[in-house]
Amino acid sequence: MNTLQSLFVLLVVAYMGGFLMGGRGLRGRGLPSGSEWLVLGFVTGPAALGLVGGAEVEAFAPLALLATGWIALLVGLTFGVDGERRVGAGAIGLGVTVGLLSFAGVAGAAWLVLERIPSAGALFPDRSQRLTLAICLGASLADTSRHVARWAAERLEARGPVLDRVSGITRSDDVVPIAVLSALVSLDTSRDVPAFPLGGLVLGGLLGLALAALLGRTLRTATFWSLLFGFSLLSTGVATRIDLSVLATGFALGLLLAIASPLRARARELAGGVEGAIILPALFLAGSRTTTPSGPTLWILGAALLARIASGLVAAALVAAVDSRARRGGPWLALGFLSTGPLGIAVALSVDLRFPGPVGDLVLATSVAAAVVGEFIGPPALRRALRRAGEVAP
Amino acid sequence: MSAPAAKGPITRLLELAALVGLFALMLGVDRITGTLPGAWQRTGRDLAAVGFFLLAGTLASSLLEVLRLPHLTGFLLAGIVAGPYVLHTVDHETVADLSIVNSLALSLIALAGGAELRLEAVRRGFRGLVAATLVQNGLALLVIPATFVLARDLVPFTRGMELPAVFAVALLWGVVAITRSPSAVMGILSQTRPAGRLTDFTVGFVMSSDVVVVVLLALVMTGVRPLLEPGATLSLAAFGELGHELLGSVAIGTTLGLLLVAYLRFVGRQVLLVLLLLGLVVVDAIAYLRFEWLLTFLTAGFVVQNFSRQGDKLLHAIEHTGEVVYVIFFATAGAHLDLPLLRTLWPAALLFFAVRAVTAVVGARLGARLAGDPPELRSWGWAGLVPQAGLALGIAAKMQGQFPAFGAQFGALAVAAVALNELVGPVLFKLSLDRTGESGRGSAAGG
Repeated sequence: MNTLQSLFVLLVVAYMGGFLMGGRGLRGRGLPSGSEWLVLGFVTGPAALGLVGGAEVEAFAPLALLATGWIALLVGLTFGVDGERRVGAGAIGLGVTVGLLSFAGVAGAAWLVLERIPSAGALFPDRSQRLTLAICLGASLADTSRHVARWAAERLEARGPVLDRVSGITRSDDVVPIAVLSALVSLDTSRDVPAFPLGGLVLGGLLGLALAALLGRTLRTATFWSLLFGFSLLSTGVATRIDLSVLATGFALGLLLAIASPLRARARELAGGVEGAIILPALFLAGSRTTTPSGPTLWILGAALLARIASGLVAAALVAAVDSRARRGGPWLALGFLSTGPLGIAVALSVDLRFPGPVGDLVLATSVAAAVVGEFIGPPALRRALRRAGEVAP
Repeated sequence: MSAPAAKGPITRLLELAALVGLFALMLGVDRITGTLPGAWQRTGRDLAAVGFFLLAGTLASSLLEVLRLPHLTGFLLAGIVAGPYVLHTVDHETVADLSIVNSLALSLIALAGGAELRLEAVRRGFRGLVAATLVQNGLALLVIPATFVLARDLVPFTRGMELPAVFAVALLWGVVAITRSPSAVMGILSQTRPAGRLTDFTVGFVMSSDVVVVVLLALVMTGVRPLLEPGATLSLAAFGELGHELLGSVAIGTTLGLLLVAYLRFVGRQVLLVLLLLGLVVVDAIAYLRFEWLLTFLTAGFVVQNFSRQGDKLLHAIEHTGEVVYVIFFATAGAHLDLPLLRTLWPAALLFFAVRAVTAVVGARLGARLAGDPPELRSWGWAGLVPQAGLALGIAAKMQGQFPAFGAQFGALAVAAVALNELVGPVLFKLSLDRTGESGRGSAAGG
């Protein structure tokens, strides 16, 4: 398949994404985290059938970068907000804690394997590389997909405090991987660009404020799109050039826009309308970039997945301790936190683009594996938990 | 490109500050990264450049509203200032990378142009359109080559040429001069949303001029070849190919138009992505089959508008997509303008620009008188014919391949002349729409 044909496929995927995720939520079609698009990308990619070749995958790297920035912008724009309702500070704090638990659990497990299993450690002999790998793995698996809560609300028509709690967590834990990656990328000077600690967040924040000021108080749709696309592209491009995290810049841009602009609700609505057309091609591209791990790397991958499950158990216990109503979900709630989705994949994609080679390959493969495993376990477990809590009709 | 709305001085100051801030950001990033190598730098440069063009073009066009200048001029100026010849915030390599937007923008422009051609309006102004086409092109093909021959001392590459050869080059220059700019016209229409006789006439003339130019180019190139290449003979084979190309393009365009009608009628969603698919993928497929894709899209738009009720839906979708695509397209075109070359060739470029404009004015008066057109066409019918852009440069590039002995210098002169037409033409066209009171009438009619 040449570049043109690959572009055609990508546009078709975007087209499908627009239909499947257009309007209000998932409209009852597709898997909650969109893992089928990851698998499709992997199957057609160079690691499997090779219909999309390595050259095409590289040619679309700018699109992948752009998509990660846009996903982060959407996350920032809707951070701490559930529909029209604001998530309280306590819920945000709980979400961040859950995210930190997952990050620490996965990063710690990966570090242990690298230090204790010689064959795995031999693949990454440099200590700073090990640290980078552990941090990136932790970041890519720190987020619970917000789409799983949306899926429960829209497809299962679930309503109630347990779902609200899950939804609040999934809308708040995003900040953990983004902040971690922002710190990591901005402190890394291997690309001969000076370090700007947390520069991505600062740059994105300033651009977000400028965007809010330029949008003013009256929304003109044409100007809105020109400005939103313009700022998104500019932030992604500038962040790439001065070696800052694209995710952090996009997130801060969206967050500051949401905070500073009186047009935030309309901005969320308009930007959310193109969510599917961006996310599904990003998942497809991530799948096509994924390589098959083998040998000792499987130890690291397996440890990361197990740590993720263990972190889910701890998180569920924490949620139950903080909120007595969440106890009604029972032990299934822990497995409900296993769904990772577009943001986790965007983090991994971002790592793959920023740290190409063994680190990027393994982080992307692990993240894809976690998304697929999470898809099988997370949504059914959440359904059981919600049913047990009486928030879904039996 | 939304309709101009009243903005206060604080908003203007904010926009100016943001524009200055954008330039400062781009220059600052350049200073930090210097000439760092790597694909990631190139990717970053490309993405930042697209975003920058989009923002700087939008802000510059908004600021120029104070001077009643068209948005398009703002896009072009933003590109020129940021481009490789002034501040160099966007370099040559990046400008070349962004040319992928061209086919997308031009396909949208052709589709919109076809959809703006309403059969009823064409029928009503048919007499005037035919008269103008004959008079404008006939006059231009007489006056401009004659000027070229007389002013050949200003054109360095004609020195040492025999007079018949100069005459042949002058005729080729005449063909370049009769090209118009559908993109500039559609860009201005998108901003001003006009309606009326001048609008109908300009759209009809400019869109059909593409076909006229393609036919005339084949005729002139076949005719002058023996004058330029001593061993060459007159061959009519080119006309067979041309006929095949034109008819095939119309046939494919009709099919595409019918498919679009069916899509808009029965699905109607995600039109943006369908337009992207057409502009980024289908264009290349049509070009691969050696058909004229601009004509194909023009026909498709015409079919949708005149043989279904989906025309307005299509125009609406193109307008939304175009609002973003046009900014990038024209800003990139601005960055592409070779200013040092214009500095070298300005006497000749200025002369040809002035003669072409005067010919258009005289042609409009003559044509309108012959056809009995209303006074607004007699006074302003020429204004939309002044802008020039991609088609002229495309033909000049084709000449470089066909006539390598002088093609490069010929192309350089074309770039210089087109630069003037590209900058001044849109201003004149917008002025004509404002003066005839047609600006804004389209949106008012549409509710």
